[in-house]
Amino acid sequence: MKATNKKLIVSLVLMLALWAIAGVAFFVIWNKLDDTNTKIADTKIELGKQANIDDLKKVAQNNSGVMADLKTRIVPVDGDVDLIDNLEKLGKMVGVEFTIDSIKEQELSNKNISGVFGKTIEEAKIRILAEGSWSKLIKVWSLLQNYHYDVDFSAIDLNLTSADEGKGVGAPVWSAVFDVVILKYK
Amino acid sequence: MQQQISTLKQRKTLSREYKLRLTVILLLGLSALAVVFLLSLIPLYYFVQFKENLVNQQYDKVQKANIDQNEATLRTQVTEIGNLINLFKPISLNTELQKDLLSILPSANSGVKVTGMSWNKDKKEIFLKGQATTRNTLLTYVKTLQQDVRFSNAEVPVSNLTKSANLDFNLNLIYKK
Repeated sequence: MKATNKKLIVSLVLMLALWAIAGVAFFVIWNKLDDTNTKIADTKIELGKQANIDDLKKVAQNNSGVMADLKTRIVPVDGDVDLIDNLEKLGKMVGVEFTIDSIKEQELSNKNISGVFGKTIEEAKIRILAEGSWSKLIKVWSLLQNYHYDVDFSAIDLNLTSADEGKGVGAPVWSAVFDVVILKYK
Repeated sequence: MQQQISTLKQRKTLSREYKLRLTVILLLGLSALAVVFLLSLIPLYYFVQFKENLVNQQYDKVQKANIDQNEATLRTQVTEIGNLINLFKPISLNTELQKDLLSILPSANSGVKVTGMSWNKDKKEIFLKGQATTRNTLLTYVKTLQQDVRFSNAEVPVSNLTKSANLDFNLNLIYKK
């Protein structure tokens, strides 16, 4: 009877110990599984970020050519004299009287942007006066709108100054005022 | 009688012994079950460990790649690209402007001659001045402008119609684009 009691106590302790070990082992595994699931969620977030980065990289790569082109369409810091010379050459090439009446530097009209790629950009508001035949002035207009630098017209004024048609003196003379805005680095 | 009592005691003792042994067997059985459970946890542990290592490796790899590529720098770069593009308007707008402005000029034999034209971007306004041979030619010309969807408010002031021939006119219209 005593021996049986002893066996009962031993088997009870053994059973409790084994289940305790099993419980701890299960808890450890469960925790690991939980950690792994958290890490999987984190990895998914990181993969999402990677997809964003890939998209951003694609945008940057796809636009690199356009960017290089656009950057050249802004007058460089020391390009003011060249700009004026080239505009005057344009007038001479067409064969009209061509004057740059005024150049005024002003902040960008788009107030949300002050510059790009670390460089400040401003606007050069240029008033160009030209005089010549209608067709020549239209040619000047066309050349200006296709000018290498980005030209934004803000006002155009065309006026007949001398109508000599039929009098044998020559073609009617027109005067033109082109108010244009050209972007330039500051 | 005494023998009967003795037998009853023995039976009780036997019954208790039986129950104790049965409990011991039951406890041993539960212990065996715990061992089986523990043994079954071993492959699960290795599987979870393997999975954890794999996920950690993948996470570290992706995170390192993301740090190397620097999302913030790329985002700034793309914003700058957007800003630069926003600074420029399509070149086609210039050619459209020229085409539209020149299209309002009357044809040579219409009897209307334009001697001045101005356009202002901010006001979206076009001002025309010229001469018309008759009132009708001027009104026909104005009607043509009124029918053009690109422009609006093409009105000729009545004061311009006082003369019956060789009328000087001034005309304002709005360029909708």
